[in-house]
Amino acid sequence: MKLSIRKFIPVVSLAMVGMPLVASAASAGDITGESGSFAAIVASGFWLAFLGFYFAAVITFFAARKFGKSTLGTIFSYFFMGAGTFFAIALFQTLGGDFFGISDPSMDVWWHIMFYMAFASYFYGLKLLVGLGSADQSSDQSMRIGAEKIWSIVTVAVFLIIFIFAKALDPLVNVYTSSVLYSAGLHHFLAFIIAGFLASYLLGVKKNFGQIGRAIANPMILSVGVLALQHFWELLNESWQVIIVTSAVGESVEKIFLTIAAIGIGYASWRLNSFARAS
Amino acid sequence: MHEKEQYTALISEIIKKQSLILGPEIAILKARSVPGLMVDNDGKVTGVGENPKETLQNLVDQYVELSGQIVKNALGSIFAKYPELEINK
Repeated sequence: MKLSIRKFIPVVSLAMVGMPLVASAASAGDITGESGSFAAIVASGFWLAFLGFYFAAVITFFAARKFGKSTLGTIFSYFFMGAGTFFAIALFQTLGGDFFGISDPSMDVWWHIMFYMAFASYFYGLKLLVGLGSADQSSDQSMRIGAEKIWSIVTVAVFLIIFIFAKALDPLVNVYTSSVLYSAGLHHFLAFIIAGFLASYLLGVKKNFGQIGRAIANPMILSVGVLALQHFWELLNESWQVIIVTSAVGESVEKIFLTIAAIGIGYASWRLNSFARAS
Repeated sequence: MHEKEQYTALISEIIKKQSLILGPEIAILKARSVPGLMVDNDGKVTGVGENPKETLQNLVDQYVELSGQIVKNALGSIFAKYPELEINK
């Protein structure tokens, strides 16, 4: 019997929508020192981001399929890996430090590693896209097309390491989390740098790549900007402690940024999907 | 080769090239939206209408509208193979 991912998507989607309701009800009041309604809002924020990235990944998957085994199909499969990685981050954060048996700073490091991988996926995809429109197309362009399979294996391997061995690797992570670099927020600055590269590529794509460029650039620029803002918030709140709020409030603000980013990424994919269908 | 045959060959090459970039489904859908141009499911051109030059221009415009600079760079080498044809680049 031939199995297709498409057949599982409606069932998984239903489960994804149902789970937050159960989880929100279960977790309401669980957060020490917070009122039940506020705890429910925090839990909803987690699940909204979780759901947002799930649907963003699904829509991106269909958009990539629409372009088939073509150059743009390859490029959009990088975007799918990026959206999928954001979903993995949302899942990781929703499960939380207690689930993995690691501290909050360790959680912070691990999700940042996945975040860099998500941005790297978009970076590779956009770099290929920009290379495609360059008059000076390098000879290794065809080699780089096909590298997405290697990248997907690397991505899955990193997920497995993080999700299975996070606790075992804690001593290694603690070397960084107990250093001055962590307090200074080096991991946030790395995110800013990658976000800057992505934004510059997206502006080039918007300018030079017709309907395809316009379909993805604006919502993606919004998402990248919002994700950079999320890191800026974390820098001020967690690293530098310039803004001091409760952990729950800090997390809620982060989830607002993440949810907006998920909507932006999902919208970019939806536009890509719908204009391809209409053409 | 007659001019019309040359246009047919050129348009076929363009669709083939765009199929590699955009995927056959979208490349053929776009080509079929050009008035006068007939394309089968494999991307083979079966008709270019009464004015093949205009058909070619409309096809190129369709692809440029869709993917901008990607098309412009991809088509340069194909146009170079047909020096006798009058093409607005």
